[in-house]
Amino acid sequence: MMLSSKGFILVTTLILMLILTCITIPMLVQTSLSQKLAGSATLAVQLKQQTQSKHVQQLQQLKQGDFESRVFTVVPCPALYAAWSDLSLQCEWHQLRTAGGALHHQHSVTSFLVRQSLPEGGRDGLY
Amino acid sequence: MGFIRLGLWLLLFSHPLSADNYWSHIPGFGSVQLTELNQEQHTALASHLKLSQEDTKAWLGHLPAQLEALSCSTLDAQSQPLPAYVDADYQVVSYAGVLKFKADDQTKDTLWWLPWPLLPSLAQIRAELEDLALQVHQPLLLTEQELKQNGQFILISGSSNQSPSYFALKLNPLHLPELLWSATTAVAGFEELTGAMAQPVLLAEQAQGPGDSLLSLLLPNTGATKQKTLFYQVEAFTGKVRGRLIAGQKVSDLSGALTVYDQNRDSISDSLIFSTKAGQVWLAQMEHNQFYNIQLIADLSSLEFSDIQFVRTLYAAVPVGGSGSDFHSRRSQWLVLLGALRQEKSVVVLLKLQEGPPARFADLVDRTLPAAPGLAVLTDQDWQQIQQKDGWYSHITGRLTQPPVVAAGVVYLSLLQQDLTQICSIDQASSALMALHLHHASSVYRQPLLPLEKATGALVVKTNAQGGFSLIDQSQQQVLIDNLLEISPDCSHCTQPIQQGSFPRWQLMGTYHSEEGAYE
Repeated sequence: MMLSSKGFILVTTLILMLILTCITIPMLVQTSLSQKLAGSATLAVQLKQQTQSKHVQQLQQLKQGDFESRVFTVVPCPALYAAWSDLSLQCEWHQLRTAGGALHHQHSVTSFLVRQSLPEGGRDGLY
Repeated sequence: MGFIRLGLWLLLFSHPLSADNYWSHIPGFGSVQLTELNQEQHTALASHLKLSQEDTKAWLGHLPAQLEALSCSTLDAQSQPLPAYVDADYQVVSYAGVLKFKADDQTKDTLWWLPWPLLPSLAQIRAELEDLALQVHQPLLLTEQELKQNGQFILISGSSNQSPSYFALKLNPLHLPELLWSATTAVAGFEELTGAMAQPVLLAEQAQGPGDSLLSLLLPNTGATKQKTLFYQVEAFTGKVRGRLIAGQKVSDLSGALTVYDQNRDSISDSLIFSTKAGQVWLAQMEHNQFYNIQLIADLSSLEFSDIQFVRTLYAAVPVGGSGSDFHSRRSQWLVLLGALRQEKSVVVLLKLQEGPPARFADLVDRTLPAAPGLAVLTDQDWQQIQQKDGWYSHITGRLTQPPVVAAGVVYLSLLQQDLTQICSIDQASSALMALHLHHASSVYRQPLLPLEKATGALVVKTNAQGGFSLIDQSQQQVLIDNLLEISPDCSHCTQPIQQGSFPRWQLMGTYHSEEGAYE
């Protein structure tokens, strides 16, 4: 009788411990996960900001002529308030893409710009 | 005495050296100089002129004098310079089909091209040139860039309404002109041709197959009668008809001014704007030699035009703000700029191209500059009206000599005021340059009308030494306006000098973000 009651306590304790472990471990996992989750948002913002500031820098460089975008085509000019006859003003469509991020993650910013230039001695007339 | 005789002999001898060249194309013989005809060619000419052999000889003798009488120096203001690889010294002007290639350099000969169908009616052409109600259109020049063949140069011209024809000349070299093709009522496909007083327009199309020539031309069928075919679309090198625009609606008395433009802005011209002489402006879509969706966009017949000089289109950001001080809401839209003749004066019209019923005279705002410059005030009410209505018009004294040029929102018009008794005399005419604000047609410079010593040729914008831009006359290289202004959207009358340093200008059209993958 004594033995069986001793065994009962042990089994109960073990079961209780098991239950407690079952509760604690997921909590621990959950905590670490949420920590990671919280960190990832900051990381994402950081990465985004990095890419964005790089993009802004590249835009500046492009405008100053220190940097060349690889993709550009000659296009009809966008509508301007101070409009020009088509052939006097030349427009180029530039696409500037800046990518950043880690191994499994990519973040990119793409800007489309129109470069308007007046070629020397451009032809007259509206077309 | 001996010296004088020697001088006379020298003069006689040297005369043929600097003599003008008179070219024409005799069917069956090809391009010939009229001063060097052989017997057969002479006979062909005599039968074409319906004259006897002797009279033909006399006619040929009188030809230089006859062409001298035909010359109209006020029209010379419309002459176009030839490209440098042909001969930069020469300018070409068309007297209703009779072409004059004249060099500024006195030592170079003047070259005349007389279209064969026009030879019997040369004497009547001058009357057409002196008709103030008509616009004499100039030929279309196709250079090597457009033809995509090095050294090639082709000229396409319409001719007088006396015997309507279109023709293409190959001018390579200039001194051996060769007729590529000509289109008259006798040519198959052109039976309905009633008038050719127009400027042909070039259409560059996408290739449909290998070896296909991509260049075609639009030839308007002008003339007083009601035509079925309004435009012929022909192959540029052969003159073969590829398509035609048939008038479904009542379009009569077509003017020779038209323009093609790229409405959807994909770099392929897809629309055509043309007008009747009275001022009914039509729009048609075109694709693969087909024309469709022909619609009336404006009926300005109550302005009583006699002919249309130029039609041009322009894509601009037009202010649409409701209140007087709001300049910041703008809409991108196509504008049509029209130069029309009205008795001895002219009217410049700016139309906003938009959906809806055709614009009437009442839908436009009269923005004629008052005689006293101080009276030209743009009130808030005016500005509001211009923004709400379909455009503006402005009456102008004199006629345009060149298509209007728009630079930085300013419309530049080169004007010629002719003496009504001596229409063809440039000495009796006065020239002026006018600069109007694109959006409300007020004067942009302090002086509304800038008088000029000489009539201007094509207007060109060039950089100047002060770091700005100036407007120059390409043919005489004279500076017309030293520091060009640009309109600014800050207020209705704001302008500022255009700076070279502000170019190139960058405009940000949009920024897009994208994200891929996952964090670890």
